[in-house]
Amino acid sequence: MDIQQNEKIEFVQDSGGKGKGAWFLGRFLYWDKTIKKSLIVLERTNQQVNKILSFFSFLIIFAGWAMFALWIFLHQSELLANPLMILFSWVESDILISFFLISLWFDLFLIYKNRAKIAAAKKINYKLFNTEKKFRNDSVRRYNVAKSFSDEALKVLDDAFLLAGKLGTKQVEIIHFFRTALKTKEVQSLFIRLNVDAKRMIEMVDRQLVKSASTNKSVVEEDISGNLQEVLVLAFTNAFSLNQKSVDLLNIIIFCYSHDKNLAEIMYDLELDDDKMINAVEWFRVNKKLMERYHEYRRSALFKPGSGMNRSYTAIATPSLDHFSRDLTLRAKSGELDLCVGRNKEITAIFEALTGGHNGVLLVSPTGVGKSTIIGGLAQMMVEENVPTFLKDKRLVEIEVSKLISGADPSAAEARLLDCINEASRSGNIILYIDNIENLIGISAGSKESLDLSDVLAESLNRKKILCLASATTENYSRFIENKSLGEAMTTIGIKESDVNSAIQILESRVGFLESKYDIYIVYSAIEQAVKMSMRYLHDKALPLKAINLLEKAVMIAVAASKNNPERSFCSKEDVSLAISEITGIPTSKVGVDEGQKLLHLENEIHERLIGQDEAVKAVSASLRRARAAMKDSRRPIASFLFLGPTGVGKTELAKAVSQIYFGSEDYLVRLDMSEYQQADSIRKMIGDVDGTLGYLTEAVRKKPFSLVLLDEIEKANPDILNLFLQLLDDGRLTDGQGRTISFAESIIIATSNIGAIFIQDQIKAKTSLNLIKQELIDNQLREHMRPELINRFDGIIVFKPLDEENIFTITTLMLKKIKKMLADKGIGLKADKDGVMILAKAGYDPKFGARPLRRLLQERVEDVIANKLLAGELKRRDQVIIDNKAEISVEEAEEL
Amino acid sequence: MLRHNFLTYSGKIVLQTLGEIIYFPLWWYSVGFIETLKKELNFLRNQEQSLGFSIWMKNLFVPMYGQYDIAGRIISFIIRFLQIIFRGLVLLIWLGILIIGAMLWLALPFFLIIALFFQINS
Repeated sequence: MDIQQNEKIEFVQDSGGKGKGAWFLGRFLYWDKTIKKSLIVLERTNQQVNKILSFFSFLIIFAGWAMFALWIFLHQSELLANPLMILFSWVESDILISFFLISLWFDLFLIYKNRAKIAAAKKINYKLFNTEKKFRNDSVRRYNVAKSFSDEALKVLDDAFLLAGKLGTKQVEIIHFFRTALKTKEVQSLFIRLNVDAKRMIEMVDRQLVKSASTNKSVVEEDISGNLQEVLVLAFTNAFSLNQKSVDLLNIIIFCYSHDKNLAEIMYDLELDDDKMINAVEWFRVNKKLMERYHEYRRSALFKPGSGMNRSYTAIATPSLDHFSRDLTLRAKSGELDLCVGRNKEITAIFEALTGGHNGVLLVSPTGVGKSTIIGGLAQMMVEENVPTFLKDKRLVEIEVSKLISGADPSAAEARLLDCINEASRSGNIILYIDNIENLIGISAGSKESLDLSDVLAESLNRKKILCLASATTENYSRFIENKSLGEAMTTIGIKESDVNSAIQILESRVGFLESKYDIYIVYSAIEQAVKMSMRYLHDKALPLKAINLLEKAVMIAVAASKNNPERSFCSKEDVSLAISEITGIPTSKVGVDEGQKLLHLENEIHERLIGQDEAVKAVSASLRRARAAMKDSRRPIASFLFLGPTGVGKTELAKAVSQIYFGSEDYLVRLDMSEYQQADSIRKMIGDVDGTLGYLTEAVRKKPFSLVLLDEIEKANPDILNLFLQLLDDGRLTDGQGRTISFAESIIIATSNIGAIFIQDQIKAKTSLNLIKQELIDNQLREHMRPELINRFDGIIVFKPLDEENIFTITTLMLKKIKKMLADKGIGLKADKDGVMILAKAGYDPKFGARPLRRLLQERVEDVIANKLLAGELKRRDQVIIDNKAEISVEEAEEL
Repeated sequence: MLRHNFLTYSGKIVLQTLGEIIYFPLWWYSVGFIETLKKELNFLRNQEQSLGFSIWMKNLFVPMYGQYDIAGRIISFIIRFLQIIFRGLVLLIWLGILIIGAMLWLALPFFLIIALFFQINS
């Protein structure tokens, strides 16, 4: 189904006709069909007449049989005496019989017409397209594509012609065709699937129509514009590549907008693009094909035996095997397995491996790529007997390892497995399948040196006793199987994760099932979103499974929503976003697209909890906005900063604020005190090791890809560890001890450092500009501790100023507000005098430690006092705590009630 | 010009209808008959498949149920032989019915002409 191939087609002026045409597989394609108003009228009259005639034919046929029945009724007594008389009823003249005989001619004619109609629906003549054949002259090689269009498509074209005439343009343009096609059910349902606002689209198209009518009045002596001819020829090639019987409307629609500038604009405005249109059209085709395939499948499944016995009755009873297994071919026959879409390549690879003399085939892929579906697809093909001879009339039986080993010691499990293998081997009609074959490894009887279960299987495979398929995840394969005897006894087939478009198409094939199960309508954008979101946020499984699970979750959310709001009975893109946030815990607002608004007001939001540091806040906000708007390199972290400045000026607080605002909660902050990573071997603590120790950093980010990583006092870490961050900042990924790649593409990295703190304080006092200070820091002070390439990799280096008195005052007020809030929960008020706050601020301020001592001071002088009073029972509900102008604390008792 | 086109086109339609009627008997004894035969063959093939006749034939000397001893072989052979005769008979009956069907197809138009002739004459 390669739709892209049409890009190769080049159009040239048709030397033998008036329009344009193109070469395609050795034939010159062109469009030739006279369209005239009178002819359309005539054609339609003809159709009407035909319809009336067939109606009368039906009447005659019906009447004929009725006459015959009447004749039987009238002659029933004679017929009872001599039933054979019915065969010779025609010998004697009878008006009823005469009529019946005449009506029989109509019966025959009807059979003829119907069969001819079926033959006529096959309009594309595939035999003519054969590049091998030599042609004598050019005229034979011409192919008029007009003959190959379906009746419906031709009718729409006629209507488009009439529409163009009404608007005063003599030529049918693409837009006329498009507008007319919008009236058909097929095209309408396509745009419904695409969740397009049909009314709006029609309005836009109509406006364009009126515009083009006013500019395009010049008389041209062609019925169909060159552009539309090109589209029609392309539509033909599309239908041809899809092996269709005729060219239908959908073939034409997908080329319309790429050949009409105005339509392209409209599509662009409606957020439609090539991929979307093609995938949605594909959806229709896939569904149709699936239905056809399903009917074909049900028909052929009737022949497959419904028991373990094969059709030649050579098989034997397999009681042990039956006990520890389930029959996949039987399940496939009864229709319990999912339909397998687009996996022919992998199944062919299995056939090739088996015919190539391998008795064991191992499918290896990450979780969720579809190993089980492929095996299910194989079982279905075996049911249809659509397989190589050595698989015909055979069963595919899955051994359930859990059943095999449960309740048995290893030696009993070995005996069970051997029984199963023997039975399968003697019966001769059984192919074994073992899911997650690594479970067999490491179960051994007796001492260390004795055989384990996997060796038993490997031996049988080596002796060619049985055919066995198995599956394992990539990780387990390399860990447990690769170097064992089992790994050598089986040949491996690696199965790749599907790409975006094929994942979308696989999802489309499942939609019918989901829709009928949950009684809800799924629009195309939800499918696309499910694939894209799962690729971005779900890293523990592979496509298409993670997208399928996500879509199902979204459907359930939509179902729940539709119960509250009966008008909303479809599953949309937004439901998928909700599902993602439920699974990963990432706030929905983050997943959606409205983060732009949030970023625009980032400064204000940060300042609600961080005082001062205007330059730093501005720099971080600007940098985050830049990173988002510039469509950042999707692999690199969202942003990375190095915060420099003395202690207690708000570096950590800013990081927390960013986490709160950007990710929705401080819980997304992963904090690493780099002073704990001073030894070179502490790298294990950070990224884990082969023995299975999980790394602190890598685990945190793997579980929550959306996080703010805060590296406190980065200069204290061992230089080897700093080297890790070179890669992290550049590529956005780290490989952990277990060999997994952890993506940091959705995280913000912030490192803080006290380097040059005293220098900053001195320079600020000397009123040097921040830029100069920063330059000096980068050029000299930082270099002594960090390598220049690391410094350069941060998106921004941000210098924090020491706090001044005014800042401290505001911070004190902010902290008191927090205390006030705590008291309010107990029903107690707090009033603070401005002078008192000032006294507290001054007492808590220390130029060396910034605002940090302030918190301790407020604890000692305010919170402790209040706590004592509370415990002593001096403070009750509705009382007020007063901080007076000397910063002393007293209680104002509430009036008695 | 327009009138001319209109006339040729109406002429075309009338001719087309006439052509259809003339082609009808030709089709009945050529394309139609072959198509019918193909359909019958397909039906017969499906019947053969559902009866498993060829599978039984192929395995005439293969013992049933994995019983490779002498007694098993002899009993298997007898059972398979009987099965083949029974299944063959069913197939033969189907074949007969289909042959009669094909003959009816060929004879029906002639019969209709003769019968109508009788109706008019007697």
